[in-house]
Amino acid sequence: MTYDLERNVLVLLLACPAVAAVVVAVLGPRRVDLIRWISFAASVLTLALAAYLAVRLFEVERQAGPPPVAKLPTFRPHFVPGARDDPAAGVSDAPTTTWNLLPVGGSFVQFYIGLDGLNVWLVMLTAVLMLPSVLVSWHAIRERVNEFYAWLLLLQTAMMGIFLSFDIILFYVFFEMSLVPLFFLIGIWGGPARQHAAFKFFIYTLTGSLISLLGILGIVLACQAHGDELTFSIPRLVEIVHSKLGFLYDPQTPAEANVLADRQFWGSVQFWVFLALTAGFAVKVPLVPLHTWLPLAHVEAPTAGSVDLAGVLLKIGAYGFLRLCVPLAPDVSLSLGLPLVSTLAAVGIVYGAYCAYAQDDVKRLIAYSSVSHLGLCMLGMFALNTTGIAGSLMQMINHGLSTGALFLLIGMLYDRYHTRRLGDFSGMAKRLPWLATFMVFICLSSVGLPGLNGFIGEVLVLMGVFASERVRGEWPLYAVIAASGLILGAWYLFTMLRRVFFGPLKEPHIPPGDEHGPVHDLDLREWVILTPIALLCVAIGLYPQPILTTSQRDIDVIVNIADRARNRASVAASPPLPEARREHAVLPSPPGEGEGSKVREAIIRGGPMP
Amino acid sequence: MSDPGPYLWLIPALPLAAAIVTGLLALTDSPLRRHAHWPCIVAAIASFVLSVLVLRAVAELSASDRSWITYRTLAEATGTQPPERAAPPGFRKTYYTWFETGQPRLGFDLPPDQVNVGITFRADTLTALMLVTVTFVGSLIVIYSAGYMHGDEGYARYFAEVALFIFAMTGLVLADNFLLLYAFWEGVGLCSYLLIGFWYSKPSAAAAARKAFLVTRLGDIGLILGIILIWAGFQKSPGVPLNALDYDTIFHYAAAQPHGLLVAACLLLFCGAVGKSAQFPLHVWLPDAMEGPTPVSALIHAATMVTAGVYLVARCTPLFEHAPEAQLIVAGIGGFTALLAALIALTQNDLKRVLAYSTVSQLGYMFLALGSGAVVAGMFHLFTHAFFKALLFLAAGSVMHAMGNVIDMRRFGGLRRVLPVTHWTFLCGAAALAAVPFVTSGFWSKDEILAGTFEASRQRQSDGWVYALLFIASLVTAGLTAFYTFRAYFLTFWGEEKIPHEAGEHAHESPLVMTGPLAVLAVGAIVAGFANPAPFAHPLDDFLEPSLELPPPPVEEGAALTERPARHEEVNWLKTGLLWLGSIAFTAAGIGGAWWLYERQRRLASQLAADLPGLYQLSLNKFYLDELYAVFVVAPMEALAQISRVIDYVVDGVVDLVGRLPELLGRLFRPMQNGLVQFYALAMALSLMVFLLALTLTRWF
Amino acid sequence: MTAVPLHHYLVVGAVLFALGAIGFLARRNLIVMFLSAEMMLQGVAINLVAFARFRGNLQGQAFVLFTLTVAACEAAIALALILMLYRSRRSLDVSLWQDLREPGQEPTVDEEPLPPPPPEEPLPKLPPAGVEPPHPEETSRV
Repeated sequence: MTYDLERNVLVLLLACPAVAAVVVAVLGPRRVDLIRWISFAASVLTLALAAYLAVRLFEVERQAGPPPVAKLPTFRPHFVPGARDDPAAGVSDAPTTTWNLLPVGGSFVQFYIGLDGLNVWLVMLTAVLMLPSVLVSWHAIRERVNEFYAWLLLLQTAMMGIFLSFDIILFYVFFEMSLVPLFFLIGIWGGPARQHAAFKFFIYTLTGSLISLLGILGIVLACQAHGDELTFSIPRLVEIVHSKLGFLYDPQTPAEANVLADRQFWGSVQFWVFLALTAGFAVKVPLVPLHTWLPLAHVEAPTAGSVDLAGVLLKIGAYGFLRLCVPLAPDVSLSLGLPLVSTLAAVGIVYGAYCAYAQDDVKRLIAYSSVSHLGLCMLGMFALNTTGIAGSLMQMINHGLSTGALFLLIGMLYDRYHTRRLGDFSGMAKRLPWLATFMVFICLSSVGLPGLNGFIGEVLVLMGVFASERVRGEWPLYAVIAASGLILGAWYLFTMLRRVFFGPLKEPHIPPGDEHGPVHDLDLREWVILTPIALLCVAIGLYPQPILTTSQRDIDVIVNIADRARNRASVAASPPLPEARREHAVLPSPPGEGEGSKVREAIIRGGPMP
Repeated sequence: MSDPGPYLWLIPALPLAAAIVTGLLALTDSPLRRHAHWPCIVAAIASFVLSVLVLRAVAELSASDRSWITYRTLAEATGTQPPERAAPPGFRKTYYTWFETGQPRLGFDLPPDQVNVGITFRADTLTALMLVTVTFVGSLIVIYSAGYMHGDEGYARYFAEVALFIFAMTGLVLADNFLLLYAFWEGVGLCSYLLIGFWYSKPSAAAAARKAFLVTRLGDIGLILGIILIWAGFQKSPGVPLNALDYDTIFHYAAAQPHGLLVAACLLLFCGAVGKSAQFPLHVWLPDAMEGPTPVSALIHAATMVTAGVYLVARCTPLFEHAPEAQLIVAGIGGFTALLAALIALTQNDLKRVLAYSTVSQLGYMFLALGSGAVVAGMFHLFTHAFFKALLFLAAGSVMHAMGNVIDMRRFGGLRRVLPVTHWTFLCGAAALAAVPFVTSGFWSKDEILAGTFEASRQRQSDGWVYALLFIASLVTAGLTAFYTFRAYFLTFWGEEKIPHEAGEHAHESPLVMTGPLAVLAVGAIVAGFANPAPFAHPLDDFLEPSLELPPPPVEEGAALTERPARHEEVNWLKTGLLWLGSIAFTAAGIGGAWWLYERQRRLASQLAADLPGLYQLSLNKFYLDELYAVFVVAPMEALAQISRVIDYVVDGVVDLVGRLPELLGRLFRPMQNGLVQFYALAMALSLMVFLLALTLTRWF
Repeated sequence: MTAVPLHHYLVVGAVLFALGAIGFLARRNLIVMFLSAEMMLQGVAINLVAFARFRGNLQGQAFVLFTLTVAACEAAIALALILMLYRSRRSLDVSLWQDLREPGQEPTVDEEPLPPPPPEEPLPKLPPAGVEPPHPEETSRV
């Protein structure tokens, strides 16, 4: 199978918004309607392309039988444009591409993009959220319309690029590129304190990502120095790292002594790489206490900016952890990252919720709720087991949908009354019944009501965290904290609902001369924005299996990586191994039943080795 | 024997369809909205018919399936555990996989954290009993609502939400695994939230809705943690499938689990039950929930939803029977709640609040039964309570309807001639609640609970005295119950005729669509007790025991196991008689006291209240529990929120400070830039000299 | 021929350089300061030429040629700039430009202020444009 069509579509997926951005920018600020329709068409087209690819990937993943036990765990992206069609020709398990961008020291920075289980649904999320972003700005943005849409489309290109990149430099370039459009979106079309917010957002995240750049260069150089190969391909880097780290039960592992000699070097490399990457991604997620740019940026950003910021940009941090941090620094992710990130995430869950409760501005409230929800997401990811990571992925998608929709709804309310203060509203359900209905619905999705999308992510995260803590033999403290996040989430959201939408009707004073006229309930455009999101919430809540199935194999890769790290940690904790155990241990294990599964049970259950 | 699998899904699906149709109808402005009750009524009745079919099917199955009984009885007889356990009789059908993760596809190094949750329904006798109760009471209340809610602005919305509730509640009892149960559990919570807040522009309703959701969710946290604990904990013991969450598997391996794990899991599950079934200390939401429309109070907050906790604990009997400590706590909380709520109900002036506290109290009885091991008695009381409490609420609604939505008992009285049907039906319900002996259903079920508690106090060795205390408390509660029930009855229907001005000139009996369900329920409140009139007959015991996995009565030596063994234990008539005497004495004292204070000597009641101001105020103000919560829970939470906000300012300030650092550093060097070219040149020359000097000096030395 | 030893050249260069530096630091007249800077340049140039002479190659000379060329360009630009500066302040005193210092700093006050500049001769003024000046009656010279 060559998947030529899919490869072309994948390139188009990036090209479509980029081209549209250029076209829109060139059109000039006068032809407003044309600009809007072109942006709309581009986002619809992108969504169609993304949906096609997602369906194709689902089919491919579903039909793929259990893969042969991997030599080394690494990502295997599908639909890579410019791929060599005979993967056997390469040294790597992962597909490679021939599309070189920039020669560097005998190797190339490549245009290496692809789709796999980890990124496909995030790409889909980006495409889905683009449509409401375009539509919600339809009337809200009146000045410099062409620039606005150009930046918006460019932002989409950058976000797609981040998710799709499998070349570490390309990833970084897109990562930085996503800052610029949002900087302008906030800085030009934002609220009263937009310049401060834009600068703070930009400087804060740039500082973080520059530190990440050090980490990226560090791992590339370390792989060059000790792996004798200069490469920027993420799958290849993961392979090199793991070939050097070794794995006790891996038949391909070189002699034990060599591994031990390298271990110290790789230990310190991992440590610094982990710290550097974490610096960038933790700001982006954001983990407490690096979150303070977020409420400010949200409050000042125009609605479309908030939607993309909360819906997609925050996921980049979490995605970075999953794609780079854990695979490239597995041991440190386990020994340092697990306690550190889990603690920060747990603190973030509770702290974000409390902060959210105390806010006056609805947008600020939701911004803090993002801190809380992403804490849950990170907690699940750093459970480093299948359930936790699957839950974390689900949580990313669900948070994108629910919080995106919350920002849209607040934006609609703001369009009508030009205020977002909680105290200005009361009993709005009377005046805007359908807006209130959608609001209640999305809040329910956000607090994890079963049957809607939020529940799947939250319960999987809870289970993953609980299982992980049980395996480590600890009290399930983090699981309890995560569970308390559920009630705290309900607490602030339902308080907000009660204050804004229920009770006796009290409308804010509408400034005179407002051309909107009398306040009306949702119009057609707003229905078009909200209905698909609501339907998606129900669909994911009732049948999340396509997402989980598509991601399963790549989640397994991450879990495999984490298990190897666990294994190394347990070996390091109890050297030297008795001879008998070692013999058993290095036996190549058939998949499924037999010796391997016993060993596996032994590792996990903490019992004696068979 | 017919397999109900093909139509099992219809029982929740029909109300769901009705909810969707009615919900869409509420969206439009069409005049059809006046007929929004039809889909809901049709769906509820259809579900009821299907539930009856299911009941018949499982009854047949239960009567014909001997394998399970053989297993249990043989094990009892020989004192050994047979190697393989047969599942209790029932039907099970998986419709699709809801979500699953963690297939061991890469082979050898995945941790055992698989999840596989199916949309699976089961029908056994316990489920069937609950289904019939829910759909029967539900149908009647939906019909009643068509009259009660007539002309309300949100007529269509009301029926959509009630239909959604019936969907969630039937789903809850049909669910075959813990996570699905949790899903529907939250679903009924949502419906409760929506319906309590039905008149959302009333601030008290909006606040009550939020309170109900949050307080029950507090319990739900325990429930979900308990479920996850079971999932993660049971995996550790050998042989357990890694993704086990369904009842049969869990219960199968329960005996092999460590004791601590079981106790912890049971207590966590019980947390959920405490929240949903309004037990102390999470009972505070239920009285406030009376802000919703009265039929909702009848359906959700009296007859069905609040019994979900009882159902859960009953369902998990195979877990609880291995955790006597957990059982003790269940019984203790139940008994304490029963007494506490009864004491509060004594002095409430709001008719619906009296009934609400009586619900809390009766739920306490049910938990007392469950904790004492008398699980069937608990379920029996749930069954009878559904009838008479729904009846009482609907009758109260009828009173409200006639009194122009006034519900304060001080403002009306002597209504027995104005509202004759309501009066008689209310009397039936009150008699059942007060457990008037032999003729009402409440007597039979409550008496079984008393007997069960008494039994437990004799059989438990170490903690028998606790059960003895609880037994005494439950006797006292029985007296209190009779007292406050008839206090409400006498205040409302006897004495001088008094009608508030809100009722207008035409205070009249409700229409047939409302009185019809009242009459049906009144009959139910009387005869439902004959489902299990122990010790004369035990049909319900025989029916439920397989599902609860309680041991059936032992078989006689050599008897063929082709028939369900009959109960042949000697009825201890002396004990039974004494128990009856005790409970009847307390009940009679309660009713007599109420009659004396509120019919004969009305002044005496207020005299008594004035003589005992402390106790009276304590009861009237619900032991100040809401105030305690406000001080010790709500206020600290809000204070924490404000503190977090301040901390966030500090954190943000630190970040800004870091941003300012380069500027501060620059300020240090600003005086150098004085604008004099010669100064710059001099500085340059001198620094060059210093530099060169340093260079040469380091060269030399 | 008696060779002048290298250090003679170097001394001359150093003297020129030092004089130039002192002049640059001590004088406030922009043109004099510029000339002083040129003098420093010449000091360096002499050094270069001298070293080149004594090393026996022409690199130093070539370098000096370039330096001189650049200095000439520099002079042209510098004088143009100085002219502009003079025009805006009507003075060549460099300390008058100290208000280019960092904002918020105290100005440096002259302990011995310069004598006020002599009043300037007003430049001849053109009549306002657009109005034709009166012409004397044209008479025939024939």
